[in-house]
Amino acid sequence: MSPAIEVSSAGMTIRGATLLDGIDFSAAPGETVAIVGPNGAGKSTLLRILSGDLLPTRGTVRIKGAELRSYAPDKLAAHRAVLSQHVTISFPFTVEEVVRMGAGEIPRAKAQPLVEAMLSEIDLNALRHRELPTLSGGEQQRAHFARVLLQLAVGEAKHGPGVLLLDEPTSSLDLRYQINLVELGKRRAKAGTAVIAILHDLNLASRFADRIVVLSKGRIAASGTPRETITSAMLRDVFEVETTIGLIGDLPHVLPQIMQPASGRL
Amino acid sequence: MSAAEISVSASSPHTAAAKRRPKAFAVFAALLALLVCTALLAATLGAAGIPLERLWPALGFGGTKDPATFARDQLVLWSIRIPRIAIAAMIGALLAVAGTVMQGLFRNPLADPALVGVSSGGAFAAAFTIVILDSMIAPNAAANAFELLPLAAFAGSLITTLLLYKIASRDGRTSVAMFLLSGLAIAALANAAIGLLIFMADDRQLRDISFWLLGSLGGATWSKAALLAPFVIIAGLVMPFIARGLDVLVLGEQEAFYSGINVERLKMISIVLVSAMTGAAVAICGVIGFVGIVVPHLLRLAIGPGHRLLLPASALFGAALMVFADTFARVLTAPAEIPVGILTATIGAPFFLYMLLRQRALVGS
Repeated sequence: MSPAIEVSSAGMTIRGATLLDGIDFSAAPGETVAIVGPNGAGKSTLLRILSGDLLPTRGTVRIKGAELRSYAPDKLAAHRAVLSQHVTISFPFTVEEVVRMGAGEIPRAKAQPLVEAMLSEIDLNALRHRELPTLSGGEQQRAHFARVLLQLAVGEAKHGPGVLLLDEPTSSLDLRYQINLVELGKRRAKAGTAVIAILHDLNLASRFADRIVVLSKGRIAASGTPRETITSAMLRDVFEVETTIGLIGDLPHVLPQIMQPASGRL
Repeated sequence: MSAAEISVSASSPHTAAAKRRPKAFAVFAALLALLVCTALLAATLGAAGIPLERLWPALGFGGTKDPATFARDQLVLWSIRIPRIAIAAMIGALLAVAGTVMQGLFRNPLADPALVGVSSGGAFAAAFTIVILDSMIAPNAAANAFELLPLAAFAGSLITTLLLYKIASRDGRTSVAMFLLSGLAIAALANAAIGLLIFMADDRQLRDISFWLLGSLGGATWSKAALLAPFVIIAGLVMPFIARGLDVLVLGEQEAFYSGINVERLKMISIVLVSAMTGAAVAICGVIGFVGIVVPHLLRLAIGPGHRLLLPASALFGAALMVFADTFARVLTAPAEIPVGILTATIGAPFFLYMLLRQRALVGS
């Protein structure tokens, strides 16, 4: 099967600083991919390149076989949706209004059933008439997730399975919604969407992803199933921590051994 | 009170927890009724008063007993008062929509074309036309510099807006402080240049310039109204096309791009639209401030921030407010007139301060 999204020998150099180099990466339709790595490894830069927000200084990005830069913004939005880590909102839109933004140019009456479906799926019905600036960070993030899922659903109804990009989607969610979100991502993948998420929590990543891509200093240090990638050796090399890896079922589980970096430096 | 209730009321200090929006139809009906009422009020009041029972015949509804008064009423109404009401309504609509679009573009409820120097840029271009071009063209007398005024004011506003955007936004983000401060600096520069022009002007030019600086709807004629009308029509035609873009832009330029908006095109259309509307308004009646801040702010409280409704509602409410303010300016010291720009600033500036203080209270810094 041809990849839903594909990056070939991509690199990003800004003002002499190389943020990414030699990145070869692809995700197939229906695949869940977690991008992990220490701070400054280039995870967010990679996601911005995948989303089309940044053009790589070297290499190409393709979505469903066509060069990313050949898509006009509205066409691109029909094939890929992006959940950003932080979205600040300066005017008092309600949750329902924010979610409806995901419907694009679809007339309001036609969009409403889709809006209702998303509000239910993300458990936002109780908050639908609340203004976003009055909500907690996690509640706002869920509203934006519903908006992004609606955009994805609208695009997929027209063009078939698309690409969903999530930038640390669980950063301000409580445990219950972290798990909900991971399960939701997996459900989307079962329907054919390629779901790519930056995750900090390695245990969550191992539960979420078919494949984990480990970034380190702008390069891909490892790529494979959770069992292949989440290893003591990788964590020592890339994250500089000593860990014990346990197994729950078939999935690796990380336990930091001592609460200090492996090299002894802070 | 349970802990949950406390946390809800603490997180939304100034609104009820749930926010329900009124229906679009009800909003337009109410605003249209308001506009008609203020227009009728404006038609009856003035140096030559026309009470309601004489207004209807003069407007062409029903007969009259007194032909002499009827003729005078008709003259006052059709050649002085109605063109003035029409101009006031169009100026109000243009300024209010310009403010709304600018606030959407800069994602900042404190943006206003007059406040951040866009009107000053237009006024400088107008003053430049009056003083410099007039003395260059006057000997030939064939062309009148006044015909160039709308064009000059538009060009001045456009250049100012572009400059402001270049300075205040970086990597697709606009800093509020940078925006207000650079607007202030641009306004100061434009005002200094206007000062220089005043210094150079002769008596007649001086009178023309001060008319522009104070902002007045005096001297309204049908031909001025005809000059404004195309701008109102163009704004009305463009509004539906930028409404969704401005909504999503509230989430930031990056999110707007992710949502499928052509951000660069949206910004370009918005900047040209704001400049054209502000320029046209400045060319006809000079600098009138704060309409663009007060109108959208009050409307957002009542009908929400969605631009599909907010933009046309701003036009209607701005029109009504301006007709009302102008009537007030005419009547307050009749038969003399206060320039309406002084009036809007007197009401608008404290309102702006109140908004600043409220924002500080909300942010808590």
